Amino acid sequence: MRENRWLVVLVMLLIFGVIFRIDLLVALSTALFVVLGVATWWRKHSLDKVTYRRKFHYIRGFPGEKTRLQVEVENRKLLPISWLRTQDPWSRAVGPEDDDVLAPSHIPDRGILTNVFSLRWFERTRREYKLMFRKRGIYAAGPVRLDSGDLFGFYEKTKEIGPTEYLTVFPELLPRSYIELPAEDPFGDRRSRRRLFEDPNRPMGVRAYHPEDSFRRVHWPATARTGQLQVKVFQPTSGQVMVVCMNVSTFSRHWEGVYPELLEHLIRLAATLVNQGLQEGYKVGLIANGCLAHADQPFRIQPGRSPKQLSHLLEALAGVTSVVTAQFERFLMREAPRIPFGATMVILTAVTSPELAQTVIQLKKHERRITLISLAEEPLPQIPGITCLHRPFKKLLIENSKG
Amino acid sequence: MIAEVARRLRENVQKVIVGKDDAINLALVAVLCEGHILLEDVPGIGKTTLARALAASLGCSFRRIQFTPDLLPSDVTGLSWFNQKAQEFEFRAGPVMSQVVLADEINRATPRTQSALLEAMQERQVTIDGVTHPLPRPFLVMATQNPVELEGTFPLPEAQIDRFLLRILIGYPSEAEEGQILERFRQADPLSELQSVTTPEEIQQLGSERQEVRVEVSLRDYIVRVARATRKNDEIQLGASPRATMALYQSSQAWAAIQGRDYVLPDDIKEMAPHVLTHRLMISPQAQLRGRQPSELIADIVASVSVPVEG
Amino acid sequence: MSVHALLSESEKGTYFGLSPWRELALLMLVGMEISWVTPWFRSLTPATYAVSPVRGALILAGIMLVSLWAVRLMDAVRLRMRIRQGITLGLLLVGVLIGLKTLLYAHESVGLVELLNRPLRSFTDWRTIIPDELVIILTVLVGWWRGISLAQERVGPMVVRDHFVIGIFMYIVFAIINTLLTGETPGGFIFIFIFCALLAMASARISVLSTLRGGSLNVFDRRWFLGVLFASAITVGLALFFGDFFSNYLLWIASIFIGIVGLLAILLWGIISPILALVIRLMNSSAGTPILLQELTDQLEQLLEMMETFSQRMADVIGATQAMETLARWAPSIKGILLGVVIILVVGGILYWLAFQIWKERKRRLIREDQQSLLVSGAFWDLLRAALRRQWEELVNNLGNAVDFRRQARLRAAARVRQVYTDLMDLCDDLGHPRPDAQTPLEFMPDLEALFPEQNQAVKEITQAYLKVRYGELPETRAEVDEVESAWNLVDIIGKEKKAVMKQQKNKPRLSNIKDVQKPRSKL
Repeated sequence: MRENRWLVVLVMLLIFGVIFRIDLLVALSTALFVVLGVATWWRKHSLDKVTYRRKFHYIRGFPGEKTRLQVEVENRKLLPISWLRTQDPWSRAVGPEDDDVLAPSHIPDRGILTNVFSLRWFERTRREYKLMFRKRGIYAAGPVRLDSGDLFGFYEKTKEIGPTEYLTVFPELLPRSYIELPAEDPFGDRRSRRRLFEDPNRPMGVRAYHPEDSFRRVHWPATARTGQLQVKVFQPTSGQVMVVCMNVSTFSRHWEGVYPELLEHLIRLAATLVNQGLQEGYKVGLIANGCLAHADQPFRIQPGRSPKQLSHLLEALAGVTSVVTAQFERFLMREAPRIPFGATMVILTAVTSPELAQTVIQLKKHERRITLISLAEEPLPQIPGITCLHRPFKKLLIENSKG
Repeated sequence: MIAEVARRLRENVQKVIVGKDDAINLALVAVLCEGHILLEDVPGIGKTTLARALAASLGCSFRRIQFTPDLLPSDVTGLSWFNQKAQEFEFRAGPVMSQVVLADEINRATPRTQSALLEAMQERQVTIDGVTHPLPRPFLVMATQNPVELEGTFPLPEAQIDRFLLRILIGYPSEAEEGQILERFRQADPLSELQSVTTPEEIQQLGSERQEVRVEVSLRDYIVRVARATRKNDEIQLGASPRATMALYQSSQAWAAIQGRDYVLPDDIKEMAPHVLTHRLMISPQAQLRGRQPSELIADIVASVSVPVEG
Repeated sequence: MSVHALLSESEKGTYFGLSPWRELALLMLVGMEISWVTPWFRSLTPATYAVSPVRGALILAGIMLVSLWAVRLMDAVRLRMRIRQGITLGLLLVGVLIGLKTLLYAHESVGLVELLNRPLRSFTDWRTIIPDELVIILTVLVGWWRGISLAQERVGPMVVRDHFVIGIFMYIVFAIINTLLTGETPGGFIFIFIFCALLAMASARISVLSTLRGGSLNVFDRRWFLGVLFASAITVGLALFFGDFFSNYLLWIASIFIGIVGLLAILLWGIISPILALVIRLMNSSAGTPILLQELTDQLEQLLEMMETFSQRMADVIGATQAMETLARWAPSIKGILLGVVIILVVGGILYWLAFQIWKERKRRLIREDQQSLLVSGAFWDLLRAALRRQWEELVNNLGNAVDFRRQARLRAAARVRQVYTDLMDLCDDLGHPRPDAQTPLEFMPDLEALFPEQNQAVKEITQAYLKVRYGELPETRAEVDEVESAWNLVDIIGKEKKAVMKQQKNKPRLSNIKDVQKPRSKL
């Protein structure tokens, strides 16, 4: 019912009734004014103080894992809501275990988590679902659309409330044996994990002076306070840094398109490398000539070893798209100066070319330590000083189909 | 008596701190238990102001220590220095010899300096050159931490974090509260005009009264079960220690007393559990990777342990 | 559909395959139709007008309901078409005869044969063009047809809304035709129509919810019905009040309406007249004015005079003239009074502000003095004295209580209170709402209040008393225990009723949809 149209009709009826002294029309129009007024007021406040919350057990995970979702809806006011429909846009890749729970949507691979509630005053209700992480990616849930109306069903009201929440599905990790790196570098037998250098830019404390200390290191203010010679202590810096450089191109010419399975395998391999690197005690970073969703620039993650570094890296890999932002060789040369000196560059590519070989040789000339892992069909030429590993993707497919 | 004093303290602190009833109440819990507080929050939220206001309201002395990488232990505890005029050693007390100490950015100092403060927190005395100097009573340390992702920080080890009774999150003020802050601090600084509403002696006496708050036997078991449940959870690598159990027990008593009761309810224990236990847990890397937060884990654990009730 | 399927609860929330909310919506639809059909029926002929409204409504409702249920029953048992037609015709004939008897020959003693013959005689009588019997028969046929239509309609919000709009339209037409011409009114039927409409719309909306995706978990219980009924009654009550009020004071409203229009006209005249006068003067003053313009000027002058007369009459009608004279007489005094009022307000405001400032200062001083006294050396002794006094009072209290209520009795009382709470938890469990193990009594209280809405205070008392004896102290007096016992008695009665109702129902509605694992309850 259109409010304005009914209002006009009722006003005309009222005027007509008044002019011609028809009690019935006056009574009828007044009564309808009251009824529609009550309905309008109810509709206006029906969605006030209504909250919709999603509680996830896990917000990130690997493909095949499950998590619990609890949807909680609360009516925090005196006015009851006889009907409330919630429509929450949801990606099928992280949808409920039972596919039929999601209502179909006009957007491919997306559904709508629909619920209907009836809430009395100050009532809260919850529903639980089991979600399944199916495919790598970062998926948004929400904002949710609330539909309600007055008690009598004259009018309806719709409201969208946020926030949008994100579920992340990491790339699957490959078995450790897949890489089979040689014993030298970067995950070899060398056991000196903490090859320490001191960073003179980062003092981290003071200690008493030893005869072998240089006078340049004396901390004079501390010496004055204590009355004894004190020297600065600098923060140790580990020399074991690894940066994974990923080439998201799956064909040598960008107009040839994308080979999705190969890209997924590349990303899985990158994820496996960063995981192993962190486990081995390396500071691991990541750069790629691909971009994340809703971005158009390549991304980089500085090497680190904090407890959250792995999740940062895997989240970035979860969000990588097939869009190539720059030619890989040029990208490498541009990014190389930003990579810490002494870091090992692990170049991961599905496409090899003479230009790439040239670039690698040039980087080697700048005293970069490089390991090159190729997924291309053709084996790589041997480049002196560079560790090359050839893991053709097609061979893997054949092996998998046989196995 | 405790409830009345708590109400006076709260009203007094609220002349400076707008809103934040929960944070103030938790600080009072720590005062009554003579425990220490860990404040983790974004800059500019009022951590220092809260500490100062609390100290002023309690009538206690207040010192602030800004922790830096080159801070020495003696800068915290004090040192003996040779007075050339008097030809004898004199003890110069460090800032820790105050009743309320605000240790700002404690994780920027070296582990050695951190230990100096933490030992003082635990033993309530400092020993310098063989001479023991007891710390004043009541003694409350409010420590703040920087986010650990930044370079140049030394995260407190779990054993040291365990010494803090409570972790308080102050949080951003609401829109209305932020407006009130602007109004309140428009012309005068209410902190400088704040008067005390109690005395250190009264606080100590209230601490003794707090110990008289009744904790029924089944509730004691409940506290133990909650603590033990944190050790059995697969998503927690390091659960709550017996010290945490004790902390939960004492803080529940204090909370009940602040509410005006002389007995503890299971709701008091549930109320205190997140603040007492969250900072002491170390969650497993797998759970952390999947985005689990310690506060969520505590909520799940508390929701799974049965409450001692008939029926 | 087999009888067994018909009698079993095939859908959630349904009874014998019927949804209560859908049936209610259907019933209210019948009510809506009858509400506007009855006044129309009565207005057709003098004979129909002689039928009392209540009788007419009941008979017509009966006809509709019989046809409605007959069709539904025949659909449910899946009778063959021939048999259906036979039954329908038979029922229709019976309906016609009943209609004639109750609506036309109500005050006559007419046998069956006479009942059949009279209509035939009326039809054959060439003096009456439209016999009353024909009107009754047509009415019965229409009522029968409406019943069949309703039976075949899928009742939903849109359907009810359409019926609502039709009903409103029929009332408007009734008002224009009948009320304007004959003076007939439908009386209270209009409000019955609105009430039935509101109830029907709410019920129809609720009835379709369970069929929506995600709606199967939603449960409506009796309390929603009461709420909808209450809300509809309130709304109709307000509508009745205002409708009655405005129609009773129609004359006043008309006067006010005309008055407003007149006032606007006067205001307009007040703005236009000087402009018109100026224009006329300009025209008159210019020499050698063409004849056409002269005529225009004359007409404008006439218009001015007419407007003046009209505004004068308007002012007389609405009493503005009198009001202006009264105002003119009282104007000097009013000025004085207004000035006086303003001065009083200003002075009052200043005094109030002063008083407030004094009070604030005094309060601040009092607090400072209070604080200072604590800080001065006497504080320690004050505290000590207060502590000793407290101990003494406690001792006296305890002695008193010992006389009043010995410890053993208190222990027994505490046990009784705990037993009451245990019984309450058992009752909740029997009603399908056990307390989750990890929930404290205070956290469980909202669920208790929802389970026993009529005894909110009682469950609150029981919970608070339980908390006190379980975790705190023993009861002080017998009266505390008696309060708990009487609260429990009230709750127990309600609980037993609910259990009896539950035994008759197969579905156990849940208050919340949380899937939590129900662990066996442990008694501590």
